[in-house]
Amino acid sequence: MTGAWHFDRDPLAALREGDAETFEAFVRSHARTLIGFFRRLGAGREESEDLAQEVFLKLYRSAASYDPRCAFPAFVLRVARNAWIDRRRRRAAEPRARSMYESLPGGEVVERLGTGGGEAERRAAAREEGARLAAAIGALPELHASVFELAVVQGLPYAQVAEILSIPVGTVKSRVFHAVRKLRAALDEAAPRGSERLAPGPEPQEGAR
Amino acid sequence: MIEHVHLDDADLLQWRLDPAGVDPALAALAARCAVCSARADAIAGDALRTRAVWLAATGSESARDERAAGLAERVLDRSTRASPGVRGDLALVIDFVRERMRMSLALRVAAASLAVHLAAFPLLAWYVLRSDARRGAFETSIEPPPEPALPAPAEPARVPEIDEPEPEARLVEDAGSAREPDAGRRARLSDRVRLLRKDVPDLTSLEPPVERVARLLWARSLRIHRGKLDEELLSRSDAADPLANALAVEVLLDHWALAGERSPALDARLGGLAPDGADPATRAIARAAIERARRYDATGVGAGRVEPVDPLGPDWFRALSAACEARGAIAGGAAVRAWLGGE
Repeated sequence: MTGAWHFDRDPLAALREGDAETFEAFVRSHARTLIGFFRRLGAGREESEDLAQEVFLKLYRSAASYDPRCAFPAFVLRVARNAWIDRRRRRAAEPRARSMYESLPGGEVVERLGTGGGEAERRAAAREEGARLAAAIGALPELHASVFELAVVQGLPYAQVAEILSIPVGTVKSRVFHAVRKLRAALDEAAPRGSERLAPGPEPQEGAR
Repeated sequence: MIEHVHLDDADLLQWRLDPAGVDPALAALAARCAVCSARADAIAGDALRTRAVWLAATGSESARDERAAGLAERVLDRSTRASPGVRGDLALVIDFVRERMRMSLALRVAAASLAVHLAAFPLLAWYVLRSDARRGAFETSIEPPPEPALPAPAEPARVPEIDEPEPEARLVEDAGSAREPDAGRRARLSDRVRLLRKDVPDLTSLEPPVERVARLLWARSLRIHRGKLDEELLSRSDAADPLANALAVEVLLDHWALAGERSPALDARLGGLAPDGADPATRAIARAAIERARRYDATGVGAGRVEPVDPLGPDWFRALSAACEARGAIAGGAAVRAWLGGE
């Protein structure tokens, strides 16, 4: 889905060899990617930037002990997810979905989804759709939300998602499906008319292939 | 022929999202099955639709390039572009503090308040310590050292001659003239410090001549060490004898300096001081007593040039020794030596 995690050269391996430019290019090209990653997991705007910066600096400081044999994207996303989990633990009392949606840029939703004819109606529908989806993702278990982010939004192979989250590939498969189904249901509630509902199919066995 | 079993939804979704992760044989079967293909498309469509809405809602695909670029520059400033001296733990601490300060107005206010207090503390300490120094108990210790009131008696000829003593009338006339109001108090306080010192100079080689002089000196010693005026001993001194009278004045002035009380006998003794008509050494002793009484602002003593006199100073003892020698050898030397030696 996205080519954001394709690298001609491993930035940390290059940094270990004294090539700082590759790492700098990675930071410049992926700052927005990481900010978006944390935003979608539920962080506010400032918090997302803070977390992204934390991840980049952790990567930089871990260059000396980095094992180039491991997949760099998986390594980065594992560091990022751990940073997010640590942050969530520190502010465990705060409801994730609420804080996330409160910081959502409503104007952006309108700009993204509200172009074309029937402007006012589209804006209202987009705002409601975004709100319901944010609430639905906020209500997902953390692992489901992470799987959805990595496999669906980031478009990473299931095997890599499994490596990042340290779970079996079969578990990734079943949780991706459950997450999509729940989120799709949330979208249907937002816009019941004209949408094709996903017909119930056979329930996948968790961890099965 | 292999019978095809439709793949479940999770497999179909993976087939669309991660085709490389699906068994090629299963993928081939599903590709040939119209039902599986249609359902896979529907499920994948749901996933893509959800993704699109979510990306739009979070604005992650909108251009936040300026903020992202700013973040990248901050990261590079603290990593590859940071000077080696500030890398490591110190950089971590600085980063942490800087970020927290940036995020919290209350923290910035608290930090500013702390900075103000830290800046004000040395000034406050300086002010307090300076004030303490001004009201120190040993204020008199910083006064200039006293000039010798009497010449050294190493040679009898060097005993100061008082050829033109000030007439008593003139001394009395000058009483009450302008002087610094606190000068007398300060002079008494200064002498009190000297009198309380234990480092009495070793003058045991001197030979004081008269027993009543020794008695007076002994009374002075009692006065100094016990803090009480021995009126009985004092009364034995002969008011008609210039030397005895001058020493009695010294004792009464000691009492004034030490106890802060002025004895009524002081005025009478001061009135009897007559530098004229005595031998030069005795006149020097009387003169020293007058000068000291003047410093103390004693009534009946004229103002004028004030000569600081150390009540236990070597010059005073030398003058006393010379006065005693002028009267001839005596039997009271032992008592004087005992007093001088602190026995």
